[in-house]
Amino acid sequence: MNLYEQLCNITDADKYSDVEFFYPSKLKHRHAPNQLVDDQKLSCDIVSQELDMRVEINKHDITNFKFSITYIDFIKEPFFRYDSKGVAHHNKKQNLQKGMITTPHFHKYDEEGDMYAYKTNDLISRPDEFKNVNAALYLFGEEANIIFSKGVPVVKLDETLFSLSQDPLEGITFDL
Amino acid sequence: MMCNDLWLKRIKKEFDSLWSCTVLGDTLKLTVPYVTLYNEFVDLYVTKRDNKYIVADGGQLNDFLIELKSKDNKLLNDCISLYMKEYNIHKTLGDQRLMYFKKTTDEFYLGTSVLHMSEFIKSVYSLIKIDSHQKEDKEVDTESDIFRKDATKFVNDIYGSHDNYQVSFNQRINNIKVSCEINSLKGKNLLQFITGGSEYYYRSFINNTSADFSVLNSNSAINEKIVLLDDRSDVYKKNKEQLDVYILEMASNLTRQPIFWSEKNKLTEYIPL
Repeated sequence: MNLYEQLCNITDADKYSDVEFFYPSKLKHRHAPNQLVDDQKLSCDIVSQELDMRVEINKHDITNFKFSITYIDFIKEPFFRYDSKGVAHHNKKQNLQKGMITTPHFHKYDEEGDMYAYKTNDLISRPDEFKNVNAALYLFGEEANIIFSKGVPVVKLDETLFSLSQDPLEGITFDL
Repeated sequence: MMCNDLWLKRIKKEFDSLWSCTVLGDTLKLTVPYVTLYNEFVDLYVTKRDNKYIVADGGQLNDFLIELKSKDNKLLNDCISLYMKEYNIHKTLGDQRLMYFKKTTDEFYLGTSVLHMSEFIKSVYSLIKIDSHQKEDKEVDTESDIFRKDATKFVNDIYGSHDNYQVSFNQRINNIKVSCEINSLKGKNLLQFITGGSEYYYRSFINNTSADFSVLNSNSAINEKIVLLDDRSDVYKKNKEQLDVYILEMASNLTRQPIFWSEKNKLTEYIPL
């Protein structure tokens, strides 16, 4: 079995967590002031090591967040991910028009190692509902086969850490 | 089959369908039909300030550079500078985010600004991907890297904390690279760790060391010139006969018989504690 077949199997397998809440308050990188993260562990019967689940949220926009699962012993990048907002993904094996997958979307690997994006029926029919981080986390748990033994965790946000402006160019001067 | 212009119509229709936009306050977020090597479409932000049209990246590019710790990468910085110069792109700092932008007073040139900014963002993102890909490849330790690490640890364990010696690694003496210097009040002792990923590299390393150490003959501050050879690597085991000839040749430029890793403790005989 190749690496990616195994990652597909882990994606499909049940994963367990007893986390009660996520509290993204740590800077993703020391020098990256815009992304707040919280990491927790997941266990999975088909692998001996624990998996890392991350909640990441943009300080400028609480509707811009990601959930991801990483199997660090296998591959550094997350193998399963939800993007609430941000750039559209290009599925290179698909027709150009159909292969443009706007956010929100999920990401996973195919068996040949290509990361592709897709939308579930819920995301197509009720996209606005999943701009809310907690609604999206519920959906993520279902799609990623995570069993939260203490119920779906709540994402706690410290509002003082956020600067809420939708327009990224607001307040910026473009003088030469 | 004859070629026909319906193909163009079809391709154009698909490309056209990729354009989209969202209004965010006073700014238009624009998705353009350009894709980076990350398989992501490029987003641009368009606004109007004092009769000038601004096409900006929204701060994403710099955020991404910071995230990947690629900020001091020369190749990337050169690429960014060249695009900025070529396409007259500027940057501005606002609320902790560095933004790249183009501006024009004439609506007539709005399309040009979008094209230039798209090309710029697409190219830099793709280059970041190429760069991080190369770094990943380099991160895997080769057999030679492991030998150097083990040899470094071995020397450091013996002399590193010894009062009479001062140990430093990867030094240059008269522009000659030496793996390790073990210095005491009596003078300098040079130690070269010799290994190689192939017979060619192993042999070149022996020859270079031989020539370098020979050049240092006149340097009276140097007491010992010693080599530590990797004899546990497959490269040495498979090419022992050929390499031993060169090692013998090198020995005349050393102050002591070459030491092999399997008998590494001899080092303390040559440089006594």
